Amino acid sequence: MTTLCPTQNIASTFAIDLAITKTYQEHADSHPALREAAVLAEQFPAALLPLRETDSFAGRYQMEMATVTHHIGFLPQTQGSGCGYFCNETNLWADLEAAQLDAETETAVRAAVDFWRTEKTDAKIRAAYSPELAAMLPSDEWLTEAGPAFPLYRMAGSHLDYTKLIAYGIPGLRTHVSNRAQELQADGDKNGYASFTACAHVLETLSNCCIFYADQAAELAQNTSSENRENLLQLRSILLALPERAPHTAREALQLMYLYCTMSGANNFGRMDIYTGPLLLADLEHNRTTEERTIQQLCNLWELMAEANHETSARIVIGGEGRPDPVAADAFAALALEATYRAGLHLPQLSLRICAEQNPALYDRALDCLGAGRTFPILYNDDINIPSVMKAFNIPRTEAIHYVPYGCGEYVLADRSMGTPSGLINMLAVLDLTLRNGYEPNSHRQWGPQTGHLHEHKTFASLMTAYRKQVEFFIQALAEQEALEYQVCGEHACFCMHTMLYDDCIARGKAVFSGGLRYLGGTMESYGQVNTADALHAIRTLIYDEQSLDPHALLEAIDANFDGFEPLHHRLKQQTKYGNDEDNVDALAAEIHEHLCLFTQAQAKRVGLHNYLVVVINNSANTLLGRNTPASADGRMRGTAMANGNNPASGMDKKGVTAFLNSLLKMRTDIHAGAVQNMKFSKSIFSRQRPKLEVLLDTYFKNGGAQAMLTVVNPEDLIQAQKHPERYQSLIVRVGGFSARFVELDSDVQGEILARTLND
Amino acid sequence: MDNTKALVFDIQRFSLQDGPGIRTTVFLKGCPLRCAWCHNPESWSFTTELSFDEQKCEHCHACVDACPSNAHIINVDKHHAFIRTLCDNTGACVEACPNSALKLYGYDTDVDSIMEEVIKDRAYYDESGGGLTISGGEPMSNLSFTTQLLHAARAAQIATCLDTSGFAPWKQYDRIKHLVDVWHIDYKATGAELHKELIGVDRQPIIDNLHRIHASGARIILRCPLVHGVNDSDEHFHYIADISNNLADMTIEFLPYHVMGEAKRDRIGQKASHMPKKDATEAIKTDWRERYCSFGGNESILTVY
Repeated sequence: MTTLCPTQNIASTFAIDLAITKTYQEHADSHPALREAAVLAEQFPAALLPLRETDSFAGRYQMEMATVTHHIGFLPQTQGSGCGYFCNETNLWADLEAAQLDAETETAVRAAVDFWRTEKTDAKIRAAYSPELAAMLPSDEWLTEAGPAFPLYRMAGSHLDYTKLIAYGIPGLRTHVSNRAQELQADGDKNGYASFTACAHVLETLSNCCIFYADQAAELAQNTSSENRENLLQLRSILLALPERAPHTAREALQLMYLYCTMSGANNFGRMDIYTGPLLLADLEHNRTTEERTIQQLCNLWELMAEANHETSARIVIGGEGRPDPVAADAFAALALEATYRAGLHLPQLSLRICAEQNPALYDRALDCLGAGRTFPILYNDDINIPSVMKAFNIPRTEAIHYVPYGCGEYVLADRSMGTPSGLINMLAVLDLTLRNGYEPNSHRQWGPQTGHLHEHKTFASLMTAYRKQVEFFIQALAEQEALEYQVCGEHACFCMHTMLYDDCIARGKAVFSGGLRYLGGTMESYGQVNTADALHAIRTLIYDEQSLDPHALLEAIDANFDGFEPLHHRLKQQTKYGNDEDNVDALAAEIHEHLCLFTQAQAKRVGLHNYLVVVINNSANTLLGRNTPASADGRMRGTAMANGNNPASGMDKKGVTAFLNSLLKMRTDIHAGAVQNMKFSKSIFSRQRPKLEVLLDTYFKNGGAQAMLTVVNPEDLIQAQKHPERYQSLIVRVGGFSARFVELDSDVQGEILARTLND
Repeated sequence: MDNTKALVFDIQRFSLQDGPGIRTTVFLKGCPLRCAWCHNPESWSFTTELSFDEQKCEHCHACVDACPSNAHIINVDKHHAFIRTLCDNTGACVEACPNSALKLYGYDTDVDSIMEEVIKDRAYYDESGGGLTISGGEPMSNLSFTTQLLHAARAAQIATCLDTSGFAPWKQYDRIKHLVDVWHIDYKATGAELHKELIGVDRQPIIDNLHRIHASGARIILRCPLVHGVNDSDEHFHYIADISNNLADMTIEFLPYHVMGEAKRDRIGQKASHMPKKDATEAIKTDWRERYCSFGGNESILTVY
């Protein structure tokens, strides 16, 4: 069974499921937007978790883990169970077993599950596939099946216009959308009228959530310490004020944003310094708060975000160009960094955009934070990213300055674009198909086009042509699927909370996925690029240049997972790998990257999206996909992880960090929507050689580095490095008056360094 | 100019402790000195050497098949054994070993190839005030190569640092001194007898060269490896303290002994040293600093690692 919060019982979760199902069914003939508003009114506040006496903010809601308060409902994305209307059967069956419902209720739940099997949004998307598309993308089971390309179902990565929300407040926004609904009605636009009337209803639900929590705060305040009581009573008055007026203070603004974000399922918190900074400065000026108090409140908010556990979302962006009041924004950004430093949590994913116009102290503090092993903020270089986004998205600078990374690192434009990743390509699996004339042996599918077997390609150029054809085949399918996914979502629902806070929707009188949004774009997650480059380089060298390897022998070795082919396996591993500043293989990696990105970019026009771009991102999919991916010619074993993001395959960068960075810099940044770079440093180098590290980063950024995720290695990493030296080839540690590659030190020396690091 | 070859045992990019800024350090193989505490014993020999790490060996015998000179054999207990005297350093076994238990120290390379690698990090040198460091072994033992490499760096406008024991004829230093931006010169022991015993060579030429190089206006970092109970006498600190006052614009680094060289010795078939089996403690390092200061040493120019 799933774990429940103490105040919930399992039966109540099914009560919510059934109420939502009933409401949805009763609105069979209603406009989809009004149906959505009615469903959301059943879902909230019923599905919210209760306030606790130490909370400074309200809005607990957990949908990412086994702990859920309902299994059926409406959200733009839910972990593993689709987008829009969802029915999370995995959790539902587990809970049903434990719930011991009466027979009548259980029958009703089973009927509801049957109903949603065809009615949930992702099922409708799948049902809308043309036969051709269904043949190209036959499976949705990317976690368990081997294959080159899979669709994903979600409307992820929204950065809503919280500045607008805070400026209008709930009543102001309600008036705004209601007036617009009236105008559209007068114009005879029934769709528009229904959409914005629904938006007004949803804001009513948001107000109800405020009051729901205000009542809880009042109740909790009666039996708690005086310190908590003061906090709870203050929270109560904030929650009572929000339905009546726009926020006056930074805390009010953050509370409104957090509740809205929670209900909308946007799960990314936007450019927080822009919308909080001016209110914070006014608060400080009028002694309504202190910096210390604000930091403590932010720590509390960060804890709620960490609890909600939207691991692949939860971005807060600070810094960068395009902030109307940089001084105020900097003031907030400094406190946000401090909260991240103190909280030491895995979320939120605080991300610092770096630009010339902001206070340099922010960057310094960011490095302090990273040096302390926080892994946040993630660093983004405006000097590179803004021109890159202009080019990749084909937009003017005035728009590109609003780029924000969401989730795992995909760029969108705050308040004005969506770019949900609706598909993924496993390039190493595509390469495997290429070697086998388009055939996928695990599923026994002729999945790709017939482009010839490896031994039939007499030149490396011929093999590359076949490889490109395979890649293009799947990208075309994924692009079509992306456009179709938006279309079906737009038909099925209004996504009211997105529609209200995304640019141009209200002005155009249209819902976000039905022509309202300024830039409807998409992203395509690519994995295995680096391993593919390494594998192709090994094939080029051994089969074509040296002619020392028989193509059949390579396939036999791959099929055997190198068992019985150890000498060949060793030779494959010894071939030059990407990440060592070696032009031959790096150039191949850059070529593969460029082909993938440009071909993907070109699909937007064909499928009717504003943009459609590759992302080379950081999440665990490189590992998860790797589990179902055959052994490869780079020497990677079957089932093991592929390289993360644009990084070298684990442990394959053997020439130190400058060589590694130089390799990274050979990959174009202006043809995709984000690529991530992980860098690991030892704690002592970070603290003792900080000036040199700063120069290293500055040089990387000056020479084209777009992004950096810095990890300062802790003792656990060093223990891992002892166990798996092959993965930590470039880890440099300080020994005495010199540095050394950690893995080359003797075990006792490593032990000593380990002990020393523990004492840091 | 000829593209002279040299035996190199490592090129380390992103070197942070081998001079100012971010550097690339080229380690030349071969050294006339035999300092007992050396942490790079693989740098001593002027020829290629095979390193065999018994801990990593899984007795798969791939090396036995690969070796053209029968230096790898199978014992009666089916364990692998290596007979160093038979080894021709072909490296065939290194290629064959799937466990990376074998490694060849030293490979022939030339100035052009080294510069090709060094130049790749130019942007990092320019930003950090770094550059190329030539270390060893003893770079002065291959003077023509070192000279050419320094020339090539100068031509490429890359700053240079030379890491030397100071034990080479003055006329050799004189020939290259205009090509070196920063000098790392070692000062290892005080007392003629002790110096001879620990280092294997006379102390006086090193002292003379230090003064002459300093007199030429060069920037010097004096590096003092210290081993507790071996060379950390009062006399030694007194002498270093005096130099700190007599030679202007110099900085001093104390490099505490580290045991890391011991296992490397074993892997390349050298006997164990008689050095302590433990690293210097923080208390000992503090004591060194205090004694140096008590003899009037200039603390502002001292770094203790």
